[in-house]
Amino acid sequence: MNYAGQLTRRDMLSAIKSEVSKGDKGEEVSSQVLLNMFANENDPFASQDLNTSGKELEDKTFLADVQWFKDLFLETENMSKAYVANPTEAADGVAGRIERGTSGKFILVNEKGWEYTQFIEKGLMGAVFLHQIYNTYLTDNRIGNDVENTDMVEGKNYTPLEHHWDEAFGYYGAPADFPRDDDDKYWAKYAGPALGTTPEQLDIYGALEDAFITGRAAIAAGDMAIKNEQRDALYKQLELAAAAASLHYINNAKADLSANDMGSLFHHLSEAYNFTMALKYHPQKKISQNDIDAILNTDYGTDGDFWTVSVTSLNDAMAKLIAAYPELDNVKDIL
Amino acid sequence: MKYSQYIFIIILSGILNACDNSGGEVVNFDRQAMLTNYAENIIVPGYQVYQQEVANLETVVNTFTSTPDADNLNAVREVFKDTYLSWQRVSFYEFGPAMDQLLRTSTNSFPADFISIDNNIASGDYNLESLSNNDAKGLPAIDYLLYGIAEGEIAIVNEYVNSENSRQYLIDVIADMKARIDAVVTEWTSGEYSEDFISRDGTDVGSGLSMLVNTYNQHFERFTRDAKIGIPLGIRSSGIPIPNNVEALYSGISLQLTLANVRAIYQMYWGQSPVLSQDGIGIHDYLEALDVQFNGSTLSEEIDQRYSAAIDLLETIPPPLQTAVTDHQTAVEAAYNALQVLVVLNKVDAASAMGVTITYADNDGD
Repeated sequence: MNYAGQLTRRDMLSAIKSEVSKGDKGEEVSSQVLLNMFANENDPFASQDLNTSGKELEDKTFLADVQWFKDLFLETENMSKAYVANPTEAADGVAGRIERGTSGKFILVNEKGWEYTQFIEKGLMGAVFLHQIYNTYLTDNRIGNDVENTDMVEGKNYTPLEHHWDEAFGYYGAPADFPRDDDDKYWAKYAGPALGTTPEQLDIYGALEDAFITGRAAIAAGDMAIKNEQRDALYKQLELAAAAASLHYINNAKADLSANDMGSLFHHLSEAYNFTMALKYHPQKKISQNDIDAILNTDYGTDGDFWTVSVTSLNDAMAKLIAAYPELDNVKDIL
Repeated sequence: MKYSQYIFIIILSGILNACDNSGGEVVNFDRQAMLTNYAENIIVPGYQVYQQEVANLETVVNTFTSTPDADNLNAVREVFKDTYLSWQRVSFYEFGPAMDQLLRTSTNSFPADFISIDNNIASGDYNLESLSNNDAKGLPAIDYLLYGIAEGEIAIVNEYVNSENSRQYLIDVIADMKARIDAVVTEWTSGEYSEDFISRDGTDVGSGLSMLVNTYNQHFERFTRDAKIGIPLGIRSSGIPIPNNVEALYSGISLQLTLANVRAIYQMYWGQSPVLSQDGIGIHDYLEALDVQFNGSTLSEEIDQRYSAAIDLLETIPPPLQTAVTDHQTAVEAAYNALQVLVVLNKVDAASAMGVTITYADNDGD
């Protein structure tokens, strides 16, 4: 199996996250550095391997969202510089830093309470990783029945079809042995270890594990029917993971509201926001775009202003998600 | 035990509660009867008393804002204290309808952010539903508005004579409180949340018992032990007291409120209704039925003694609390430690004995 390109891009996202989180620490963040990392220009990474990899995140990002992320990079720089010049505590309509509970951990948020570290990391997880799985690697172009599956890729021991399947797996984030632990990164983490449910209660991670493995074996055996079934399972379960992660963070947010912990509230809502937004990348998503927009622009606060959320509005968001993903109904309060 | 004058009604029904999937022992105990007692005799009546007090407060505030004078101010202050006390008796049921209304956060986030209150009044432009106004409204705000907005009674009355914005702010704060408690009571009664709560008679997450145990433990830990006593004492500030963080800073009734809160939680533990003057099935009875042992006695006996001890120690602190945290630290520390012992007994020993998982944790995970 070879998914080096995907691993490289995962490392690039980690590097971007580290740079952005300097803002949370009260330091200045450079949008130029972020833009360079995004496009892999001007040797922006500490790792020479990344710099010379010939890979980048920008050209794999959902095209309509590229400018959104570049704007986030610039706003992060502006906010971080404003903070350094005049350290401010975040307030309604005022960007600044805010503590998560009494943990000693601070986050930098904009005037709506948006934590850009989460908006950028979780946002790119959707706009790059999930988008590529859905709209490149699992499409007929890459793993359709007609894709070459007999001759090996030159110099390798896998066929193009096998390789594309592996690349989809590479964007998922699990190690090849599906350990269900800290080594599960990105979507693999949110399909399993990060959720509040046990595998007995909900096992998206297990379903994805089965689909990836069974599909891979089917491809090796030349069984296109089973491969297509597993492909369908991957589409379905990855979508469910985004919905489940949204519900998980909504539950966290409700607890934060009850505890009057605004910092944790903004951190968790920032995650919920981006997991919900990621639902849009699925080419046949079960939830309507209208509902996604309503959740983002009303339920998560008026115009997405986290200072205006309420338990009622979050319950409305949950209701929309459960209506689209009824499989999650019986675990919605434990996620 | 001080409550022997109450009629002692215990119904040990013949309904066998066989092995719960949560691992409780096989006991003769009717959890549903316990939940029924809680919902119908303790929680709903408690909310209704508080609701009535808020309605009374609205009435006297209307009189005061129409005719601001010393007599009317005092009338408001009296009802305010009763309202604050009745709140202490229901503040820990932060689940279901209360959670939906963010009742505790909206009603009692202290210390009051007097800077925001002053700014809101000055501009006349505010949205009390915004989360940023959590500590600029509710009972702590009223505490400030009635006792702290100016120096001395005459100046306070004058504030309301002269400033329409101040009068309006007082009215708006109470309207927010009233809307929320009305919604909570409606949900419990005609909204049938009572039936829903009673029907969830397991011990799993989402059961009535689990919600009750989790919320009163979280409340006791973060609000009773920490917010009311520990934080003003200096527990979170390397031992340096923060007197201005006490509850009811301006009216000075902090200790009365804390005592009312602890007593109410103690009564809830016994299954006694503070409103209806009757005893019923409570957590105490469940622990007795489970026959949980603790250090040569029963856990229920131990918890009983610890509540009494904590209440005694709170009563020996010379009021007001904002002075006691600097001038009588030993007494306040003793009370704090007594509360801490109860936190452990309830959160660790009692919860696990009942098969209830404590699900709240200090937020740290990503």
